[in-house]
Amino acid sequence: MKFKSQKVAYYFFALSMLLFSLQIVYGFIMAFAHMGFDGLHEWIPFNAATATHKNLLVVWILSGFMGAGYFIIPDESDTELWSVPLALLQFYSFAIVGVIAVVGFHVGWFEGRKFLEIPRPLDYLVALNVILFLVILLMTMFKGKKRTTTAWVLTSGLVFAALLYLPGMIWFDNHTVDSFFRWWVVHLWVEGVWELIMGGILAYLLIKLTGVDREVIEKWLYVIVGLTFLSGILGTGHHYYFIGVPKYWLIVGGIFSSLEPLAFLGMTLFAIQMYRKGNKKHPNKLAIYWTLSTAVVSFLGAGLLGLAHTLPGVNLYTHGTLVTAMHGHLAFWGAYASLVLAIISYSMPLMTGRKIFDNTIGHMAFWFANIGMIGMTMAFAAAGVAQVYMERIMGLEFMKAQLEIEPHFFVLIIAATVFSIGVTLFIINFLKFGSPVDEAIGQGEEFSALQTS
Amino acid sequence: MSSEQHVLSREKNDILHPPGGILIWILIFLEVITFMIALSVFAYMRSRNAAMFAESQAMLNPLLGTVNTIVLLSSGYFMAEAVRKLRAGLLKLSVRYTLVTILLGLVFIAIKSFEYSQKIEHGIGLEYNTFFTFYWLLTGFHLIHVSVGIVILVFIYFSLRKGRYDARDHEDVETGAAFWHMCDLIWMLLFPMLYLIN
Amino acid sequence: MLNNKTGWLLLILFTLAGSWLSGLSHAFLALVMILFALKFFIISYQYMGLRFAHPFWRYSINIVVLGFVSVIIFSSL
Ligand code: HEM
Ligand code: HEM
Ligand SMILES: [Fe+2]
Repeated sequence: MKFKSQKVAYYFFALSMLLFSLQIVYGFIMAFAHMGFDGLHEWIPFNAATATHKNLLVVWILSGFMGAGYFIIPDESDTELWSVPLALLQFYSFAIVGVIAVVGFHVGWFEGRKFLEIPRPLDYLVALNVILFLVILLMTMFKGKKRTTTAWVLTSGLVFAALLYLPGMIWFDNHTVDSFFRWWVVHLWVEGVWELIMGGILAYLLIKLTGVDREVIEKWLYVIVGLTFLSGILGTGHHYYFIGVPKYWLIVGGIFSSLEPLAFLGMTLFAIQMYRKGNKKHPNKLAIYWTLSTAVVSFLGAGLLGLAHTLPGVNLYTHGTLVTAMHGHLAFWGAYASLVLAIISYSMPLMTGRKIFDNTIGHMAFWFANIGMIGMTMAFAAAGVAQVYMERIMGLEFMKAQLEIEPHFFVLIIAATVFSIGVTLFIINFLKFGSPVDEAIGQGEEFSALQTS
Repeated sequence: MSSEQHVLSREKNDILHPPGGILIWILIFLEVITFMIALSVFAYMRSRNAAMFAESQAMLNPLLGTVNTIVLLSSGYFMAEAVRKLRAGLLKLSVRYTLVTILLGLVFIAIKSFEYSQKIEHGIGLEYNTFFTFYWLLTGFHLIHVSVGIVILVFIYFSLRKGRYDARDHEDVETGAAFWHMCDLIWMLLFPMLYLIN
Repeated sequence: MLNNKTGWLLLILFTLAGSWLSGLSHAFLALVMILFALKFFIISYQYMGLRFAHPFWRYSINIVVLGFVSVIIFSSL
C-alpha cells in the first residue's frame, strides 16, 4: 500500500463480504422453495427472496467495485485520496440505503422489475451516493500528477455505469417501452460499461502480478474490452426478441450478441498469454488464481453459455427459464464476483501487511467455490433443459413442469453447499487479515521490484 | 526497387505489422465477417421467400447503385494515390488527393440520401418487409462507416496540411486509408447481394 | 502489371460488367459474385497494400472471401 487513504477500500470490501454471505442465504431459501420446502413463505415469499438475492448480488459487486476504485485510483494517480471523511460518509450512506432496500423487500416495498426492484425514492439516494463517489475519484485523479490509461478506463466505466442507471428511473406507462429501457440498465451494465470497469481492474492486476510492460497490457486489453463493449451495445437486441418491439431487433440482436463471445475469448487468451510471458515471481498466488479464473470463467459463463441461448431461434424456447438462471450464475460469478474476489485477494495483504496469499485455506476456497459453482451451473442446466422440454415443447403447464424438475434442485443444493464452503473459507481468510494498519504503508513495494520492466 | 516497394517491403513477412497496423486489420476482419454473417442470414431468408425478395429487389434502383459503386471505388483510388504520393514525398499532391477522396465520399452520401428519400416517399421503411429490413440495416450501417471514415479523413487532411506527416512517418494516414478502403470492401459485398443477384 | 490506375480501370469494368450481366439473367449469379470477389481482392491487395503483407493476412482474407462467395454460390444452386 502506498497511501494511507487507500485503507478506505477495506470498509467496502468488508461490506461486500457481508452482503455476499447474505445473498447466498437467500439463494438457499429459493433452492429449498423450488424443492417444495417453502416453510419461510409467510415471512419471505419467493418474490421477496429472489429480489433480495439479486439486489444483494448487485450491491455487493458494486461495493467491491467502489473499494477497488478507492484502492486503485490513489495508486495509479500517485496521490492520497481527495477526501477520506467524504469517502467514509459515502460508505455509510451506501450501506444504509442498502439495508433499507433489503428490509423494504420483505415488507413489500419494491417495484416488480427484475434487477431494478429498488423503489424510486431510494433510487434518488443511490444516485446521490454514486455521484459523491465519482466526485471523490475524479478529484483524486485531477489532484494527482499522473493520469494512467487504466485509471481513465476504470473511472469512465464507473461514470457510465452511473449514467446508465438513469434510464431505469424514468417512469413509463407502456410496458414495452419500460422493458426496452430496463435493459439499458441491466444489459448495458453487464455487457457494456461494467466491462470497462472489469478491463480497468484486470489491467491493474495483470500489470502488478505478471510484471509485463504496462504499455503492452494497456494497449491490448483495452482493444479487446472495447470490442466487447461495441458488440454489446447493439447486442442489447437479444433481450428485445419477444417484448413487443419491431422485429428487426431479431436480426440486430442475433448478429451482434453472437459476436460478444469472440471478445470474451480474446480476453481469456490474452490474460493467459500475459501470465505466461510474465516472470511468475509474484508471491501473491491467490490473487493470480482469481485473476486468471476471472478471465477463463467469464468466457465460459458469459461467452459460451451466453452464446448457447442468444440466437432468436433458441431463445424462443429458453427465454425466461432456468436456462437463463444457469447462464446468469456462471456469468456473474466468472466475470464480476471473481473479479471482486481477485482485487480483494490482491489488496488485503498490502493493506494489512499480513502475508496471507498462498495458504491452504485460500487455495481450498478457490477450488471449492469454483467447482461448486460449476456444479450449480450444471444443475441449473439440467433443470432448465428439462423445463424447456416439458413446458415449451410438450406444452405442460408451468407449475406441472416445476414439479417435475424438483429433484434437480436437490443436486443444486449439494453443489451450492460445496460452493458455500469455498466462500466461507474465503471469508475466513478475509477475517484473518484483520483491519488495515498504518505500518503497512510502503510495504509491498518489494513486490514492485520484481517487475521486469 | 521503386520507393513504394522499398517502404512497403520493410513490413514484409512481419505478422505483427500489416500495412496500416495490426489493430486496423483486426477491425477490418471483424467488420467484414460481421457483414458476411448478416448477408448469409439474408441469403437464407431469401431462399425461404424468393418471390417476395425478388419483388422487393426490383424496387431498388440498380443504376443509382452502380453509379454510387463507381463513386466509392474512385474515391478509393484517390485515397490509394494519396498514400502513394505521400510515400514518394509529394506532400502537396497527397493533400489534394485526400481532399478529392473526401469529396467523393460526400457524393456517395448525397446519392445514398437521395435513394433513401425516394424509398421513404414510397413508404418503404425499415419494417416494410424482411428484404427492406435488411436493406436499411445493412446500407445504414455501411453509411455510418462511410461517415466515420470521412471524419477520420478530414482529420488526416488537416494534419497533412500542417505537415505532420512525411515520406517516412505516416502510419496514421495508412491506418485512416485502410479504414476508408474497408468501406469499399464492405460495399463490394453489399452491392451485389442487395441490388444484383437473386 | 497491376498498379493503382489499372486497378481502378478493372474495378470500373467489373462493376459495369456485373450490373450488365445481372440485368441480363439471374443465371449469371456465380459470375457476378466472382467479379465482386475479384474487386475485393484488387482493393485489398493493391490499394491496401496487402500484397506486401505477411502470408498470414493474405491467406486469412483469401479464405474469408472465397468461403463467403462459395457459400452464396452453392446455396443458390
Ligand atoms: C449457494 C448459492 C446460491 C444458490 C443456492 C442460488 C440459487 C438461486 C435460485 C434458486 C435462483 C432463482 C432461479 C429461478 O427460479 O428463477 C437464483 C437466481 C439468481 N442467482 Fe443465485 N444462487 C446462489 C448463489 C448465487 C451467486 C454466487 C450468484 C452470482 C454470482 C447468483 C446469481 C443469481 C442470479 C443472477 C439470479 C437470477 C437468474 C435469472 O435471471 O434467472 N446466485 N439463484
Ligand atoms: C459478464 C457478462 C454477462 C452477465 C453478468 C450476464 C448475466 C445475465 C443475466 C443475469 C441474465 C438474466 C437477465 C434477466 O432476465 O433479467 C442474462 C440474460 C441473457 N444473457 Fe447474459 N450475461 C452476460 C453476458 C452475456 C453474453 C456475452 C451473451 C451472449 C452471447 C449473453 C446472452 C444472454 C441472453 C440471450 C439472455 C436472455 C435470456 C432470456 O431470454 O431469458 N449474456 N444474462
Ligand atoms: Fe444481455
